[in-house]
Amino acid sequence: MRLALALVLLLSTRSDWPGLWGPARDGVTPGPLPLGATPSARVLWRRPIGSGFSGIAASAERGFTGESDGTDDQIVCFDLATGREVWRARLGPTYRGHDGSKDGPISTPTLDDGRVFVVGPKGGLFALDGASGRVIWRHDLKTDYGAAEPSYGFGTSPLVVGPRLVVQVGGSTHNLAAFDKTDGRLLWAVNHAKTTGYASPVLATLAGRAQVVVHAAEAVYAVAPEDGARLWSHPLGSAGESDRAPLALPGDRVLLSRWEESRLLQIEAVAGGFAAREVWKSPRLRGSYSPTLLHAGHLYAMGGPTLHCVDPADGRVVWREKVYAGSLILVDGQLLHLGEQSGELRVATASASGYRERLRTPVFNAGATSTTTPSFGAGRVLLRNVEEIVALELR
Amino acid sequence: MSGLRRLVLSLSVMLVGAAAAAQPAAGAGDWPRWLGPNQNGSTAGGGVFQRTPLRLRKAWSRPIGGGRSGLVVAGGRVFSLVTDGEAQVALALGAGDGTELWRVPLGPHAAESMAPVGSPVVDGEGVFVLGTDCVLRALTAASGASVWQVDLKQRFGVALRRGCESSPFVENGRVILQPGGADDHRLVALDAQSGALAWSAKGTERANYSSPVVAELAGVRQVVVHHVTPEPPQRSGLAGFRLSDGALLWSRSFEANVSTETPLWLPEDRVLLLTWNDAKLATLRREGDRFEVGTAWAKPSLRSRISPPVYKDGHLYGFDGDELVCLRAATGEAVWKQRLYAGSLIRVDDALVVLSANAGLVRVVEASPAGYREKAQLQVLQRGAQTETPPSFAGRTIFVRNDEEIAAIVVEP
Repeated sequence: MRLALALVLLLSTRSDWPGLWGPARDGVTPGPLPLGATPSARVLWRRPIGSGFSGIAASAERGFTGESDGTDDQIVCFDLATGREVWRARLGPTYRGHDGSKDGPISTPTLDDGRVFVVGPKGGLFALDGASGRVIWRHDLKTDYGAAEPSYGFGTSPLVVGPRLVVQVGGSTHNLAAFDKTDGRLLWAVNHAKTTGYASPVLATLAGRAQVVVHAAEAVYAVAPEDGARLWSHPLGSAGESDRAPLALPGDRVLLSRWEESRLLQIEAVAGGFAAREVWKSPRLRGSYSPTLLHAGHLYAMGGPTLHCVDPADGRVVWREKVYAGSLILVDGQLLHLGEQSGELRVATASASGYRERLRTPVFNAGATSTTTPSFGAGRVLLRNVEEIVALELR
Repeated sequence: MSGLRRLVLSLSVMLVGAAAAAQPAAGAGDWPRWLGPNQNGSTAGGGVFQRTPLRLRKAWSRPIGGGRSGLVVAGGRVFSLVTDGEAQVALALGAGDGTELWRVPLGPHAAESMAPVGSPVVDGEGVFVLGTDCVLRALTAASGASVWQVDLKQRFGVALRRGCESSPFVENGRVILQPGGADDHRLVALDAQSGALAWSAKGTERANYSSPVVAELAGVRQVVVHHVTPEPPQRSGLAGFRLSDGALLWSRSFEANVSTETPLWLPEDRVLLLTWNDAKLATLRREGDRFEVGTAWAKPSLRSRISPPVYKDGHLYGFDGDELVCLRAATGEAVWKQRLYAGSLIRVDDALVVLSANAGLVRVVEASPAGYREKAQLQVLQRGAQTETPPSFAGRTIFVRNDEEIAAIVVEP
C-alpha cells in the first residue's frame, strides 16, 4: 500500500511540468506518452487567453501562465481537466508590445511546494499562493535591486534550488540574486556579469559539483547555489541580450544557444576550481527560442526553420528537416514541435536515423504567433499562443 | 475625403501615364521596381479581379532559395535576388511558367545578414541589382550579361552592418539609390548607361536600410527619403532631394521610433512615414524655395514590418500587427479592422491583394471603407514558412515569394 502510494506520488510528480522547459529545465519529460500505430490528437478543451509568450506551468491538476487582459498583465490559474479559470493575480499594467513584439508577460511561472514564482515584464518578482493567487511576497527588481529593464521587458523565469529562489535580476548591483523562497529575504547577490536579457538560470551537476549555470549577455558562468561564488566563466564576446537557458548535458558539458550560434562547453575540475573549454561552435543552430533536447546520445535542435539532429561530440549534423520555425519538447521519446506561425503541432519520433513524423495536426489559426514552448502535464499536451490555450490528448 | 475622389483619380491616371512614359520597355502592366510602377504598391489591372465569383488558381510554383528581395516583373521576365544561405544570386525566370532564364552570382553576404533584401529594378533593356554585398550591377535583362558595376563600399564609403538592403529605382535615365555612405553620399544618381556619377547628395541624417521613392510634392519632382538619426535615441525622419540635381529641399526628424520602411507618397503633398511603433502623416507646403513640413497626424497604427499600406480614394489599407486596417487618410482614424494575422498587401484597381506573412494564403479583398469583404482566397505557399516579401502584380498574374519558393497565381477563367 505504502509502496503503491509512493509510486503514485512519483508518477504524478514525474508528470508535472513545474515551470520553464519542464522538470529539469531541459524540455524533456518521460511522459508517459503511449502512441498507437496511427497516432491521433484529440482536443480536450480550448479556451481564450490574452497576449503573452509566457509558458504554461502545470501541477497535477492546475495550469499557470501569464497573459495581458488588454489592460493589465496577469497570472492565470486554470483547471487542467476543463480549462476553467480558478484565479488570476495582477502583475501590473500591461507591458505594451513595441518594435514588433507582443503585449504581455514573457516569464514562465515556476511552481514549488504550493507556490508560484514569476517575474512580471516590468520587473515585479512575485511569490503567489498556488491555491488562491494571494501575494505572499513581492519585490520590484528595478527599484529594489537596481535591475535594468531588457528591451522587451523582463522575461527570466526564477529557479528554485532548495530553500532559495535564484533570479537573473540583471543590472550591476544584484545581477544574480538568491532570495529565501518562503519570505523573499535576500540571501545573496553577485555581479559576475553586468547585463542581462531573457535567459533563465539552470541547476546542474558538473564535474561533481552542484551549480547554477547562467547565460548572461557577455558570458556564460556558474555559481555555487549556497553563496553565489563563481565557479567558472566563459566569455561570449558579444553584448547582445541573452535569450535561452543553458542546457546541461551528461559528461560535464553545457550547450549554450544564442540567436547567432550554439556552442558546446566542456567543464573540468582544475586546481583551485573549475574551467570551461569550448569544444565546438555551430552557426547552424541559431535563430530560435526553442530548447535543444537530448535523447539517446543525440541533440535535437532548431536552427531557424530547420530541425537538426546533432552529434554532441563534435556538433556534426546527422540529419536535418525543414519543419519551419517553432519550439520543441521531448515527451517519452517523441519530439513535439509547435510551429511558431503555422499553428501546427508535429509529433516525430526522436531518432538519429532520420526524421520520422508520426502526426501533424493544426492546433491554432495559421499565422497567429505561437512562440511559447509546449508543456506536458497530467498526461496532456498544453499549448498556447497569443490568443488561445489548447489541451490535447495524443494517443 | 470622398469629395476629392475625382481629383485623386485624375492624379493617379497622370501618374501611371508618367511612369509608363519614363520606362518605354517596361510596358504598361509591368511591375518594374519595388512596390510597383508607382512605388506605392498600387497599380491598374484592367478589372481583372472584378469577376464574381472570383476564383484563384496557382499557375506555377518552384523552389527559389532564401531572401526577401521583391519580385520585379517586366517584359515577360521575373527578377529577384535569392540566396542558398551562403551565396546570393540575381535570378531571372520566365513569367509564364517559371523557367529559369539566367542567374548571376553576386558577392558574399555581410556577416550579419544571410538574405538579400533589396529588389532589382528594370529600365529599358537593363536590370539593376544591389545585393547585400553593396555592389550595384547593371545587367542586360535578356541574358544577365554585365554592363557595368560600381562597388558602393569603395566608391561611396558604405559600411553597413547588414550590408545594402535598399532598392534602387531608375528615373530619367538615372539610377537613384541610397548607398547609406559617408556624409557626402547619402543619396546618389548614376547614369544608367555608364554608371557615371550624375550627382551625390549630402543628407542631414543616415538613410541606411529603407528605399527612396520619387514624388511630386508642392509642385517639385523630388526623391523622398526615410532617414534615421545616427545618435541614440534614434528617430525616423523624412527628407526631400530635388530629382534633377540632388539638392536638399527639406528635412525633418520626428519624435522617437524608427524603422526601415519605404515612405508612401499620398496626394495633396503628403507623405506617410511608418515606424515599428506608429505612423505619421507629414504635410508639405512651399513658399518660394522654402518647404514647410507639418504633421497631419501621428498614431500607433500601421505597424507593419513588410511593406507600407496602400492608398485609395482617401483611405489607407494596411497591416497593423495582426490586423488589416482601413484608415481615413486625412485623420488616421480607423474605419474598420479585420484580424488576418501579419501580412502584406498591394492594390490592383479596387482590389487588395493580401499575402499572409506565415500562413501561405493569398486573399483578394475589396478596397472599400464599407467593410472587410473577401472575394477569394487560395493557399499558395507552405503554412508556417516565413514570407517577408509583398506580392507583385503584372499582366494578369499575382506573383508571390517567400524564403523558399515562388508562385504565380491567376484568376480562373
